[in-house]
Amino acid sequence: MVNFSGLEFIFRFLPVFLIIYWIIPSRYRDALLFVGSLVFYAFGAKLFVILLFLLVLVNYVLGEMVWVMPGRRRKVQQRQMLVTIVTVDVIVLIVFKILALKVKASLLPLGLSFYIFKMISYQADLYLGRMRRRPSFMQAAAYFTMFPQIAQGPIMRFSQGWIEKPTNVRRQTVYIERSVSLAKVEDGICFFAMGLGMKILIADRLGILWNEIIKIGFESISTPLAWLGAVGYSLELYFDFWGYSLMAAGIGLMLGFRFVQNFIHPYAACGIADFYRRWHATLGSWFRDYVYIPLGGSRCGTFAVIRNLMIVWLLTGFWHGGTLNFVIWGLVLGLLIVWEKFVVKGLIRRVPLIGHLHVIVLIPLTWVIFAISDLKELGIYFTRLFPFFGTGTAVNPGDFAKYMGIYWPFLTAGILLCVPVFYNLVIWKRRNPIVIVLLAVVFWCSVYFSSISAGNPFMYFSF
Amino acid sequence: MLIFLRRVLRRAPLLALILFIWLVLTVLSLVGRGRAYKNYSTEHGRLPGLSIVMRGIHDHVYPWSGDKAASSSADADEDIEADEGGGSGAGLKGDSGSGAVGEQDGNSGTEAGKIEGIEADTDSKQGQKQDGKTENPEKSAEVSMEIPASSCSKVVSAKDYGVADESYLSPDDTVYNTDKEGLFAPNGTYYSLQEVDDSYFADALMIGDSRTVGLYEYGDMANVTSFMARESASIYDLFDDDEKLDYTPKGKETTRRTLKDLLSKAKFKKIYISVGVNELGVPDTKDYYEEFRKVVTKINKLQPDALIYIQGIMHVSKNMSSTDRVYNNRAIVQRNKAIATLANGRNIFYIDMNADLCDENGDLKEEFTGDGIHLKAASCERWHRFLRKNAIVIPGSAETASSEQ
Repeated sequence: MVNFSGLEFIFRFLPVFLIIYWIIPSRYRDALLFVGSLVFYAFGAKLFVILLFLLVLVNYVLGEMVWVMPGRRRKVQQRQMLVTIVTVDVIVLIVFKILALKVKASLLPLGLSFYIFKMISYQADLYLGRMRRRPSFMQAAAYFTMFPQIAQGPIMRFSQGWIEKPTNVRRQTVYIERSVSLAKVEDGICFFAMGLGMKILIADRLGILWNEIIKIGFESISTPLAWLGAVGYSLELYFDFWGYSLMAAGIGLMLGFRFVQNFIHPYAACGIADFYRRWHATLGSWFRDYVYIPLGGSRCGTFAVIRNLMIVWLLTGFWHGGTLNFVIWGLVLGLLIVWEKFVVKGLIRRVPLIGHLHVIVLIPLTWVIFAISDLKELGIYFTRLFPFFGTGTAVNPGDFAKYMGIYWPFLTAGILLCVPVFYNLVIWKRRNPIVIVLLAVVFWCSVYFSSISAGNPFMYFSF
Repeated sequence: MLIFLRRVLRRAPLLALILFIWLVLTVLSLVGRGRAYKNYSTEHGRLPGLSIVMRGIHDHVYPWSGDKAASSSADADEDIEADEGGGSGAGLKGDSGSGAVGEQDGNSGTEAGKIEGIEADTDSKQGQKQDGKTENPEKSAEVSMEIPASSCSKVVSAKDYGVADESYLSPDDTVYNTDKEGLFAPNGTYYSLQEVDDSYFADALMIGDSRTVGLYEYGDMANVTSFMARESASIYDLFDDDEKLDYTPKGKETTRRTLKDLLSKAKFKKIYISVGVNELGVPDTKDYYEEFRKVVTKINKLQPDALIYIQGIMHVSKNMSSTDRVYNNRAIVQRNKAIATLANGRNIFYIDMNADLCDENGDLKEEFTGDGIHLKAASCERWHRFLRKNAIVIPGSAETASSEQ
């Protein structure tokens, strides 16, 4: 049920929750969001909901202590407190990641890395005085657990959800109530339908292509198919995650939150660094604000900047997964960004095409590293991408034509949506009757595919 | 209320449109419930009613289709059931005794190599009749006999990881083929599996699902034999009139045809059937067996001279078998044991390549598979090799001569 594209979520949990949420007085909405999110989380993560609850409690209580810390040595004690909380959070994250890696994958609680990052950001913002008003327990708890974001982000900041506004009454700041309006709900549905379409109609279809390649075995794919696979996987990942983020943002809008932008047309970026300002932007800005800048950011010597960048990208790699391929993935990206920043910066500025080529050619290759956790298999895939180092076994030269024949509509749709103008046009014209009908068609087609592939034992006919 | 609705319509037309369609679909699902949709479940309300309508659309079942659509799969069996047994073994009758390895006597020393699950059924308590014939079990015990181990492969067993969803399975003690006469009963005429060369497959047809598609694409057999396969083909739809498969005659281009049409027009001497993995998600083993039996009967009717090879379902990898409630080796082994009982050692044979591909737990070795279910391209040759090593040559027949050239 924790899957936004699942029928149970769309037609059961979400409507029921939204109706209650809209009906009750706004002062109870944080509490409802907290309770509803715990229910949602319990469906997906079972007993880990207890862990979530404890983490919420610990983080709130320790955060309160930072807030109310009295005395002259306040700053020092606050700092110690911050270090303590962040250490606790990070240890929990590491312990579960190791357990998942060494013992059993199911030991990783759903969305752990996302809500831990939200907790760390909350503590840091408290410590740095970015919150002028003391958050209530329900506010903090709703922020940590809110169901649109708990499974896969985006990593919203507290201040994006609970907006502060100074008032004249006793010079106090207050949090603006989230306002729910029909226009916002309509926008929310519009983004949700678009996200659902991206996930089900593009990403899930292209996911089958990648499975086909795994099925054949990397040593037996032709070089054109290897490249098709790299492009297909890149698009699958993009639309899976962008679609998810749009659905999350759409639900957020329906709840009265502001739109949280997580993907800003990354494939239109000029260079790898630019790509990662636009790809999973809330994670990138989290690393920038809470790791890169505290380390000194770019305002230090060349060597230190390189060190900071490599630390950030190594951590990003670890964050995505514990196996060695993720470390390599992070390091490769770090090196590429250093290369862009210190070697070819001027060239890219003069010839932007080079930056775009970096994105279009190198990024899919980095996704291949991301996709294949077995290093030997990864090596084989690269020898198929670049067949100078060896030949394949039992290669069928007609494989590219076969799979292109099947998957070209999804690849074309995916590539078109990588061009900002198409998406922007839909957003701009979203009140146009044609666009409305189009979005409704996308929504119901997605539900159709979701229906015939889920919960139906007769639909196992897929081999 | 009306004012509110008008506001929704004006300010949130997409919401209104989606809600309206939702309402329509829900009404449709209620209209067809218990009739056209009686085979569909909402899993105790877990899924919305509209999902039934969607699934119905996929299967060309609509609320107004009535009961008929719901049971359409049952009526495709036509008259074949009635014929069962009548024309069995045609063309082989004259052979009995000539080169047969077995004897008319059922006690031909086969106890040691007895095929698991193929013990000829003499258990009167469990004597479930598949075809409605009622025979006196005591009487039939006299003519029961066992197929020698050399005529069929042994059903390869596998470790049970305890994840299988029992609702897809039948009780382990279910007794399958109990025939004492007719197509599926051994009559004492037996042939042995032996090694052949590729020319043996020239007049063969490989029927199957995506696994067989893999054999065609990567098994180095496209120029050796003919294929009739398609992804997601299953025993339930092999003979459907609107289910076309990809027919690729030896070394030629692919066309789409129905199996019925092909078998009515072309002649094959050997027919290999390899399905079963898609059907794992359909309850239950007994049902699968019954359907398999019908298909074999139909094939035999259309191609009475052909040898029919029932290929055991290839096992899945440990990774899959130990986690998936549907695709696991416990279910596969149970189904293999059921269909293996259809072999008669005379013109229907059971062959099982799992012994060549699996580890000591009966799990498909990881090195042979990428996704845990299919053979990797580079491993398809092993299947080809297995087929070469396990073939039946009828003494004195034309293909024997060709295979010995």
